[in-house]
Amino acid sequence: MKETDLRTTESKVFRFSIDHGVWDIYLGCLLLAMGLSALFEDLGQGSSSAWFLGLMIPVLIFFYASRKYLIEPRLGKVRFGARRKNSLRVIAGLIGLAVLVGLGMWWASTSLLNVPTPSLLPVILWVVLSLGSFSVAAYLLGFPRLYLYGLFFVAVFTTLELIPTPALRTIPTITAGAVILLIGSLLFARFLRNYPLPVIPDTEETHGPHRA
Amino acid sequence: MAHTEPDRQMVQQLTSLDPIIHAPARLALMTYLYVVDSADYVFLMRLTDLTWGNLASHLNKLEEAGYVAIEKEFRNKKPYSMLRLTEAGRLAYRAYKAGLQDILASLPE
Repeated sequence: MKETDLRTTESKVFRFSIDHGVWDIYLGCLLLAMGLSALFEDLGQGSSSAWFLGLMIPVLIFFYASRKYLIEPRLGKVRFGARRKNSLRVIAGLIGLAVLVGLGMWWASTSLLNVPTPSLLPVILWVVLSLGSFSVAAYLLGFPRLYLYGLFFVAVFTTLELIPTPALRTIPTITAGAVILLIGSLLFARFLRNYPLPVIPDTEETHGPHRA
Repeated sequence: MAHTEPDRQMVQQLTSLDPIIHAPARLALMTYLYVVDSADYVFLMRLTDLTWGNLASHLNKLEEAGYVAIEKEFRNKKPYSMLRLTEAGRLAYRAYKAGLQDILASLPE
């Protein structure tokens, strides 16, 4: 077994630990919340920022609660080594930067300027950042579907910037969010079906099998 | 039937492999623990598809050999166990891997 084989094994273990669909649900809900909040503002139903926060708070609660109460009891807990932690830091930094730029652009186009002004520079910046961060994440995590999500995010923000009609510009965002949410929901349902709560003797639950 | 010299050498190589690691379930456990920092019982059970009882038995053997350490932590005020390979376990795994590679390389095509 070569060192590369051990790296492949580590990558498989890592994918196994995070391929439960909740991250997809989170990304899908993020896009949906952005699209719906912009749509509600376009329809004169209040501030998009308030809508966005109102929609995202339950999503964040679901995200943390599902990881703690649904995923961890079924899948167990694992900690990875320094190499994996470093690659996760790189991905988190890139995605954080992309999200900040995206939120800034979205905020400017929906809250500050009621009618979006097509501007090439932020669009190019967004394309580079979102494609770059999702591609790096897809490569380092070994998740090919993140390439697709990167394309979705690019399409969403470019159309948000370039489509001048308020009612139409949110449609790509809502559609992409719904597609990612659907993928995540199917993966999560499959995870819950394949990994029911393990039957563990009461006395061993927290100590492990031979630590009763 | 008497063994020829190369046969004897191969038998010696095979018997020199660490019997603690040589069992398929324990080899899988050692491999998974080698590539991660630490994991709990449920995660290892999911990865290996072993039953709870089998997992306990194999991990007991690895712990008795000094290859696996059990670290107790407290989560929500309850004791909780994480498993990790000890330095002796890592050395034993590398030695086992090298020995097995030698044997496989010496097998005829």
